[in-house]
Amino acid sequence: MEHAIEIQSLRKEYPGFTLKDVSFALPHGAIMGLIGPNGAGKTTVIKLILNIVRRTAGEVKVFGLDSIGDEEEVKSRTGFVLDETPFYGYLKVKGAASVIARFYKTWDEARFEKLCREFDLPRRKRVNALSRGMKMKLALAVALSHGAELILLDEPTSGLDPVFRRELLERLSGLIQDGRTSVLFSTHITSDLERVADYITCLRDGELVFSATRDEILENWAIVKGPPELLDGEAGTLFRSVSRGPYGFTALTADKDKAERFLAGQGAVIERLRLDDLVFFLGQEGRQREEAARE
Amino acid sequence: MSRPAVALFKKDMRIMRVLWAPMAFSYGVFLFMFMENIWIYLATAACLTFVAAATAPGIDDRYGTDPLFAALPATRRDLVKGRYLAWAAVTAAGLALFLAYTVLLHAGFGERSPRLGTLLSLKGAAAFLAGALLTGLIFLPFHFRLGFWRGVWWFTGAGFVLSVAALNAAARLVPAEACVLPPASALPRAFASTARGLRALAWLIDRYAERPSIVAAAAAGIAVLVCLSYRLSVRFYKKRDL
Repeated sequence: MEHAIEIQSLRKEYPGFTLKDVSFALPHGAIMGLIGPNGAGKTTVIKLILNIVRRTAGEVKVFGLDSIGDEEEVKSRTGFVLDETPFYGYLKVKGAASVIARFYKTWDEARFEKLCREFDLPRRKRVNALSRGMKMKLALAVALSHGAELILLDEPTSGLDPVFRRELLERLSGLIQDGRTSVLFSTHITSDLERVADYITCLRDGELVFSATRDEILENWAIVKGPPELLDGEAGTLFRSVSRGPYGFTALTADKDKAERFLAGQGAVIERLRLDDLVFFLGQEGRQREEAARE
Repeated sequence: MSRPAVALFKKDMRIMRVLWAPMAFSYGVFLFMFMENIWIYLATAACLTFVAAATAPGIDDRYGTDPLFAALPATRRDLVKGRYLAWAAVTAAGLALFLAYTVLLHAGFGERSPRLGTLLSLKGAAAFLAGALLTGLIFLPFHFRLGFWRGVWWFTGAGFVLSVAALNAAARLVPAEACVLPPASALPRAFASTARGLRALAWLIDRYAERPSIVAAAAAGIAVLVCLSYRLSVRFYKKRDL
């Protein structure tokens, strides 16, 4: 099956940070959420797909095309919102969009005008006078005004009020209904992903932790709470990111079925996982590893 | 010319538009101030044109828009091409403004500055273009390699060292009597050799600038420099993380 995005062993080395051979794929017509603690490499992945930064190694294919070799073709079919919203502050909304519009053969001015109305964007106001949320709306309107088949969004919901956030998520869900548009977005607000994402990819310290469907993750991963003696037995191998308290432990498991079989009748409680729990526990696991490495 | 290069060129023109009137005004004021010495007059015009052309990358740096344009449907080569095009357009506009102001000043203040008329010639235009283009062609690779402000600092530092070296070399190329400083000159020794270099450069230009072979060699030199500067800029920008 041809994917909207196919990333193979993608590597980027910075002084002090390395994105380590990340691989994942986003099928056509799906929404993928990119999650992970701060500094995990989410923005780097999006920048690498857009060639804003240069990869050290690996391969990025978008619509089956190489993102460097077929750069112009790939980018003309891609819409994006970056973590910063870099528009010329002294231009009016319309002017700021017009300098970008010239780059797209398929720019649809009528659609941009319609989106501005829907987003309550004042077209005659200067960009400097817009709030962060309104600038984000402008970036979204630009990203959605040229019939892109792939939308890349870096923290698009930050700075948005809850009403517009929900509207945006519904809009993203609506976009993929045609079966050809795909969305990859990074976020810290994991409740957004539970609402709309079909796939979730998690990064930590530049490494891929998992990339799977949302349902697989919510079915397989769980939180386990139990007495401390359970940690010493064979069941201990099932746990990750263990935090010990005076009366027991809390941990993460990536194999809920197996944990249920092993722990039956041993006083353990297995709870359904939410995505923000997952980010929290994986972040904690990263810190534990760092501390262990230092010792 | 590719569509994205033209789009970037138009973008540069659009974002600079707001500064055209103040630039044209300050251009006139500075030229008026220095009209009594045509060498300083010429250098001021070339410097102001450089500043005007550098405004677009400066604005991009101020608003952090480089990553935005790198993510649009354009290759880095297109973006470099567009910027060179914009630079050429601003230089051409600077030349037009330079000639227009020179005509005005010559008409109004010809008695105070009789040599101003000599700039209203092919030689004058060529001298202006050589200065304005040379600075731009050296600055742009620094800009694409290091970003705007770091590029400006490196360009200034490297430009200063290269100029001093070139002027000192020029002083050795001409007869000693052609670059003698006035007896009243109280310049420190390090500056005196550079000042002699400036006089030597002026002597060389006066003596050789109108020879066809020299003009052809200078034109060829500028063409080679355009090629080299553009290739370096593309190479640097392709490798740069934004």
